[in-house]
Amino acid sequence: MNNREEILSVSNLTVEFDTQEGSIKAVDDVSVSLNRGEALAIVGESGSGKSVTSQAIIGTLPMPPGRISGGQIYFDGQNLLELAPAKRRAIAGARIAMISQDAQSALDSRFTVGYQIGEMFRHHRGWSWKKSRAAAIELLDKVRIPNAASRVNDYPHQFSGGMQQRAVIAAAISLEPDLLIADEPTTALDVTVQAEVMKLLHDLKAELGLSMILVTHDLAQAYETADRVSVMYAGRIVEHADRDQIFGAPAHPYTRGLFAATPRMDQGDTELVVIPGTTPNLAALPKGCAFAPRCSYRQDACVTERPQAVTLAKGHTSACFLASDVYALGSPFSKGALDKGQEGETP
Amino acid sequence: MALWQDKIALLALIWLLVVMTATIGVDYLAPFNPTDQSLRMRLSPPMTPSPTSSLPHLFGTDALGRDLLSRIILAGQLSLAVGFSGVIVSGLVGVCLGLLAGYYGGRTDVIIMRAVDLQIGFPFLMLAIFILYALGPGFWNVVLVLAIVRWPVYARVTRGMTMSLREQQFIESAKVVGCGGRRIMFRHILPNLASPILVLATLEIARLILAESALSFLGLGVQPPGTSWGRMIADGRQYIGTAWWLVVAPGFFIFLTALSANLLATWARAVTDPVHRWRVLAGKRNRDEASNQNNAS
Amino acid sequence: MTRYLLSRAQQSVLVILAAFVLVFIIGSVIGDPVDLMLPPEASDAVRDQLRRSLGFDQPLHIQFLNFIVRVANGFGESIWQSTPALPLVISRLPATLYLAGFALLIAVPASLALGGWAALRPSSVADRVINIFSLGGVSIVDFWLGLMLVLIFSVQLGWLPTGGYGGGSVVYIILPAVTLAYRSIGRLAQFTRSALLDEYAKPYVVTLRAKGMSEKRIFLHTIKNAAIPIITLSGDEMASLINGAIVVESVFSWPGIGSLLLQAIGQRDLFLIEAAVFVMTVIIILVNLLIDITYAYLDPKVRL
Repeated sequence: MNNREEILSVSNLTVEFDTQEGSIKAVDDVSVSLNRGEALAIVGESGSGKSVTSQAIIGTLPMPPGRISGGQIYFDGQNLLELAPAKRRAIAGARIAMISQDAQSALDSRFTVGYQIGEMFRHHRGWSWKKSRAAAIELLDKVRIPNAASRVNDYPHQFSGGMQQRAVIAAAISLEPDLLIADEPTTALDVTVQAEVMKLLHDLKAELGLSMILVTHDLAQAYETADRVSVMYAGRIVEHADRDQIFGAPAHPYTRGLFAATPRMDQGDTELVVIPGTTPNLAALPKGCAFAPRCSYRQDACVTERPQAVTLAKGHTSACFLASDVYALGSPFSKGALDKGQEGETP
Repeated sequence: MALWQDKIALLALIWLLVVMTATIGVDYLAPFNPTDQSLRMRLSPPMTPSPTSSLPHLFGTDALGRDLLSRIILAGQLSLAVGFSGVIVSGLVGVCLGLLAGYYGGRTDVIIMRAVDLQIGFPFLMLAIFILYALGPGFWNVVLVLAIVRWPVYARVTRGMTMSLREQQFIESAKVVGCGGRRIMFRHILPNLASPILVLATLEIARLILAESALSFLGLGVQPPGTSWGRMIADGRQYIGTAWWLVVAPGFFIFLTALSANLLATWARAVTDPVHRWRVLAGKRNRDEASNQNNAS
Repeated sequence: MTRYLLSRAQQSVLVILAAFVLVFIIGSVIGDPVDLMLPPEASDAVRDQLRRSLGFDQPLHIQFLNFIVRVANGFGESIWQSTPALPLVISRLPATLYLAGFALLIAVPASLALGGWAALRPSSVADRVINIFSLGGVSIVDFWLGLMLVLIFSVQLGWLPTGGYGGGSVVYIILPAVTLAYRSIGRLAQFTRSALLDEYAKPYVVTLRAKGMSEKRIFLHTIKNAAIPIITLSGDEMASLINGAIVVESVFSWPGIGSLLLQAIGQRDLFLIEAAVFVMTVIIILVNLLIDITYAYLDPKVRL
């Protein structure tokens, strides 16, 4: 489909969790792929399976109770799921790195920031502590922490929230990974700091040629950062498209609903449209489309049968019986609204 | 997790029930009369056949030729009685003071908790030894001493839980309806504390059985002709080189009984206290659930 | 920090004063000192004479003043040894501290190993075995355990002496120290396990896994985080080891304060008993104080 080199290819991934009420599918038959240097945004609400997908890719999925019951994850030509644990660990951190949403708890409060960056070199490359520390200073400098040489000995609690997230980013990019997974990297931060951190990620992506998966529920962030967007609902990908396609003409009612629920810069006063209902209980999904109970386009077929993905344009798929009708509605945004939003958030 | 699903906890319960039944019904259930002496049979090793009965001396006999198992069952009466009485007395005192401190707060709280802190700072066995020495030995003195040294444990736990309950809605409603302090404490707060206090009491029974045996071992507990497990070990000690069973058997009863109480308490806490649940039961599964909650968003 | 230490030290002084008063109350009010000093068969004339000569016929407040004076003079003269009681007790202190300290040296590494092992394999067979072994520590009577160890290692195998101090040689201290340590091992191992499991559930461990760190390196992180509560609890164990030494010393004829106390009880030597109880209490209070200071020093949150 794409001429460029494919770095990651997840196909038919299914992750189940064993719970008291039996096994639930947190991720159900998910396929995504990513080319080198590209950014993919996985968008969805809490519990949609977007974090579990990224955990499965990097290998931090808690097992048990989690269980990968189907699919493959090909990274740079090798199936990660068939790799020996030691080899898998050698890839984690070095070639696939991850940034989680809460930097404060992601850092170990009893070790200095410098140590936690330096141990990447120490562990993966066997460098001396002295050399690792020097590299950590360089990295802190790179993520724009002032006085890096002295801050390297600080403990995480001496850093502000934004600085903590930068330190986490520094550790993540330390070995120049091919793929960076950012799991809601700015959720825990103040709005102004959010913009700075996103800008930093942007610049680093360009500078290091990173491929990136951005897990987020923030559509504006997805729009700014991603080349392509996958929308997840109840463990499945309901819509997937290039950025401009999906923002130009979303083809799934859920995606449209998400767009309507996003605060927009161009319409400060209008009321937000909230998707009615709550996120579905994964243990008791309806037989048909999981979104059907909340969907305003619902038809009889939606309740009884699960819709398969249909292709609307090149690379644009939607798992909805009415995909082409929704697609025909075009953009829910007025022209330029998103760009304006982007300007507002990244000064 | 139900009791019958946790085999170890079930075994513990069965053991406790067996020991309690046997000691209460010692006259009918003991294989021999625990006071029957036989000089010819003295210090017989375990499994020695008895000349007077079809049953062998399962655990052998003591220096006066008395059947050791029957002696152990008899001694269990006092050991368990001290454990239960001590727990009841210290529990009553501690829970009441804890309720008062937690419910009324202020000066009442300060005074009671100061006493608790003070006493918890003291070495408990040392205190018990000294008081018992001053009071003189005897069953009720042992119970009294154990109550004196152990009430702060209940007071502390009860106070903490009472303070958090006091703020809750249903207590507020009870106040609005016009319930008095005593009624609220005993009718509304206490029932909510029942299960943690029962768990604590079970742990304390194990502890008091051990403490009683230590005091008896030191000669400060039960006095002859009465006997307890600790006393039996003390009495058998001089024969340790020649008649090891005199020391081994009673100690094993203490161990199994205390272990059973501890296992049962651990199980009960795991079932009744969701916060502690993972600590005791399937640590891994719950640990992953916890990390899962942190990540799944 | 200074403020915290001052208030903590003040509290300790208060507890020591309370211990002082308590020793008086138990020895002179709860018990009749004359009864406690004389054998039951002593005649009334002897009793009256002793009561008068020691001032126990005076009103309580005078008795208390006498008590203060007596304590200042080393708790009075030991009837049994005919020397001031306090120096006698103090001379036994090193043996007790040596035993308790040695037991702690056994207990801490052993429980770290057991608790760590269990925490790394939760719900495994090893975890269950360690759990029951730990519960055994708080379920076993220490003097019985001591006698069992003597039975096996001294009487049967003849490897180790049955008791005595042996000039403090390691051969002599092993059995009493292991006996004393088992209960602490039980408590500490369970605590270590749950403290480590707490750490493994924290998000930073997920980060470490995402960073591709080895389990060994992850353990390094979790153990450092779990260290402060474990160190604190180990300190608490020192206090309970000193307390437990009373009984264990008597099993092994270890010449510490514990066996002195029991001999004093046997000799009805009230003044010596009072001195031993008071010294032991003060030592434990001081150990507790030391733990709190260490804790305050280790934990930045308290330090600030």
